[in-house]
Amino acid sequence: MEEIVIIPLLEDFLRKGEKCGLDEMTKTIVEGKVRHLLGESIEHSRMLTEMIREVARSDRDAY
Amino acid sequence: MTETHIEELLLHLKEILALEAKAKELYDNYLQQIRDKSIVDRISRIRDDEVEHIEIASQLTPLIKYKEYSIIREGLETFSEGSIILVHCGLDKYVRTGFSVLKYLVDERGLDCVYVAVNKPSSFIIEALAREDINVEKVSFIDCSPVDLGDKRGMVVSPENPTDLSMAIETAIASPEGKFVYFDSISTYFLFHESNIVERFVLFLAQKLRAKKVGLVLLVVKEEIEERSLARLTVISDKRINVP
Repeated sequence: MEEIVIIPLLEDFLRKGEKCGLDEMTKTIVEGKVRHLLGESIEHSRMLTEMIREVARSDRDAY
Repeated sequence: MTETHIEELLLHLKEILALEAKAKELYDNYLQQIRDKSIVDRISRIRDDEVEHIEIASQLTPLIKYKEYSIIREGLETFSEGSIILVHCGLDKYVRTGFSVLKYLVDERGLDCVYVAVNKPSSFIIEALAREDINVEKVSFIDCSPVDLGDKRGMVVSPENPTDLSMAIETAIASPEGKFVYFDSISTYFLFHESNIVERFVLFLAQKLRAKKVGLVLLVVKEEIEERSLARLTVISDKRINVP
């Protein structure tokens, strides 16, 4: 659930960060770090979906 | 840039940080309940990423809050045992520059700080650092402020006597590992002594700290120092960070 909520939150943060007038150096650092969080959160979301599918397809008690 | 935008961004960041912390807690709970190795391995990876995300999100706060932070962070990136760094800023940037130095070296790098407080009493500084979420537990004080508020948390030394101050610093770095000395501010120290005395004191202190492999950050307020003295202190230091 957190992974799903955090993705639009990070995207929104990037949009707001772009407009709030941070100096270029700060903006580059902040954007790089937030993009890293975003990329990994998307990957987590994909991994979790895959795990849910695996569990749904098999005998749940094994987990 | 309006303050509202920055405030909004900081609130947004707080929300992100809370979600990352919640996610980590959730994965910790899952890991206690799940038996399947393949799932455990993947959840563990995600959980470890969340720990890293919390650290990254925490580092973003000072970057956004203090305009000076990115300059300080870049300037202090090579700061190591025995480094002598001069941080030169204007009066209008003085408070935020100080917070940025401590936020980076204490909170981000995890170093212990020996704070030589010349401008304000340590009790005042402790409150200010706590308000800024800087880990006060990692900061010890040598209080040279002429205003005595009766706080005896740190060592109290008269600013009039450089020998006493030098001895107090030596006592504070008796176990030097992972420590640095933060002098706030060396330019104010010029109020108590002739320029050549302060310059000699800094030279002596720098040599002593280098030998003990303890870093030193000297904060200089532009309006408080003459060009000649600034040049002398710059020569003694390994690097000067100018906060525009």
